Amino acid sequence: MAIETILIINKSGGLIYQRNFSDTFASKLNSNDFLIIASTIHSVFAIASQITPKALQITQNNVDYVIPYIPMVGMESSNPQQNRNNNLPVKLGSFKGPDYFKESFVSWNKSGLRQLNSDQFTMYIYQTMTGLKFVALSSNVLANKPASQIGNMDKGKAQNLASQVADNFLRKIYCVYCDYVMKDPFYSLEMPIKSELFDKKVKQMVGNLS
Amino acid sequence: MNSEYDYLFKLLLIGNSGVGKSCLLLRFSDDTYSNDYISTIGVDFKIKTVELEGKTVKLQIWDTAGQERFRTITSSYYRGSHGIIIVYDITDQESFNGVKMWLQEIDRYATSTVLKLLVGNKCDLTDKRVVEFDVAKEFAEANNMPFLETSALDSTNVEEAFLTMAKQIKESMAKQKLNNDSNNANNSSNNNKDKGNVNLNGQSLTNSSSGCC
Repeated sequence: MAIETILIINKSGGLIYQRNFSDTFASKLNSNDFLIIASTIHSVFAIASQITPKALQITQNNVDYVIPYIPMVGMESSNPQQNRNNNLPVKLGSFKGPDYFKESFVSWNKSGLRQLNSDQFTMYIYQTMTGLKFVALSSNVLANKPASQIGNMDKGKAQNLASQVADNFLRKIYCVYCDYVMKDPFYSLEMPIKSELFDKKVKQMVGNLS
Repeated sequence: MNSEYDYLFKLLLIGNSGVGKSCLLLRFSDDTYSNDYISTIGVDFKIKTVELEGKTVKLQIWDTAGQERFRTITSSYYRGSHGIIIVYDITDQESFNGVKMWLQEIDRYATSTVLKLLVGNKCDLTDKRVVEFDVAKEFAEANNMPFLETSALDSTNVEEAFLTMAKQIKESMAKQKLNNDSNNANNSSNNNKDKGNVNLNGQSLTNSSSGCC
C-alpha cells in the first residue's frame, strides 16, 4: 500500500495537517486545493451518514464493527521476531508499547465513509470518537490490479484486508498525534499542526509501510 | 507543507436563496462579478490568504446553499466555525425577515461565542430598496452584532466585511488566550465568566442520532 498523502481534518472540517509523500498529488494541487478537498470530504462524510438507512442504524447490533489488530503496521520492523532479538529499547516516548496497541478495536466510524475507490486512487478514512478524521490517499487501485497480483484471494476480501490495514495504520497515526501534538503546550486546538516531531514520525511510519 | 500558514479560520455565509452570498464571496476572493444566477449546490468553498499582525491567516469561507432542500446536513457546517455572516437582500423584505430564522439556526448549531455579522447586500440598487438602513442597523444592535451594507456589483464594503470579521476573530482568540493565562496565574480573576457557559436559550436538537457528524 503506497501512501501518497496523509490528511488530518478537524471536527469542523478544517484541514489541520497535510503531507505528501510523493509527487503524484503534490505537483498538481496547491495548499488551497487540499483545504477544499478536506472540507469536501467532511461534507461527503456527513452526507454518507445520512444515506446509511435508518433501519440499518437501528439494527446495528448485528453489524460487526470490530477491526482486527494487524501487528506492526508501519512500525520499524514488520518482523516482531527480529525486534525481540535485537532487544531494541522502546523509543516511542509514549506510555504505550512498541506497537502502540495490541488488541482489536471497535471502529467509531459507524455510519460515515470508510473507503472511497476511484480509478486513480483509494481513500481510507479513520474517524476518532471526537470527530477528528485521519485520511490516507493511496495510489493503489485494487480494481485495476490483475488477479495474479492479488493471489487467490477474491477482490472483495483483498479490499477488506486493505481497509483493515489502513484502519490499523491510521489509528497508529492517531496515537502519534496524541503523543506529539496534544502534548505540545504551544499547539492551539483546531489549528494547523506545526510539530516537526510529529511530521518526522508520520514520515517514518509511511516509509516503513512500503 | 503546513508551515505556509499559521491560522485557519472557518467563516460561514448564510442567508436566503438569491441574496447574493456567492457573488459576495466571488468579489472578495477573485474580485470578479457574474450576473448569472447559479444556485449553489450543498456548499462551496473559497480561500483567501491574509496577513494579520505578522501571521499568515487562511480564511476558508463556506458558502452554503440558501435553498431549503440542501438544509439536511447544515449542522455539520456550523460546527466549529469562527465567524458567521448573515446576508440579506436590501431589495427583498422576505430575505430580511428570514434573518431571524437564521439567527435561530446559529443558536441551535453553532458555539455561543461565535462572531456574527449582518450584511445587507445589493446596496447599489437604491431605487429598489425596501429595507431601510436604520431598521437593519437597529435590528443588528438589538441582536448584538455589527452591520454593514455591501454591494458585490460595485464592491462597496465587501473587503471590509470579511477583513473586519477576520480581525475580530484574531482578537477574540488572543483575548481568550490571555484570559486563560491570567486565570492560571490568579484564580480570583473572574473576567471571563460569560465565556464557556452553556447556552440554554437555543432550541433542543431533535435529531441528534447521527453520531459525530
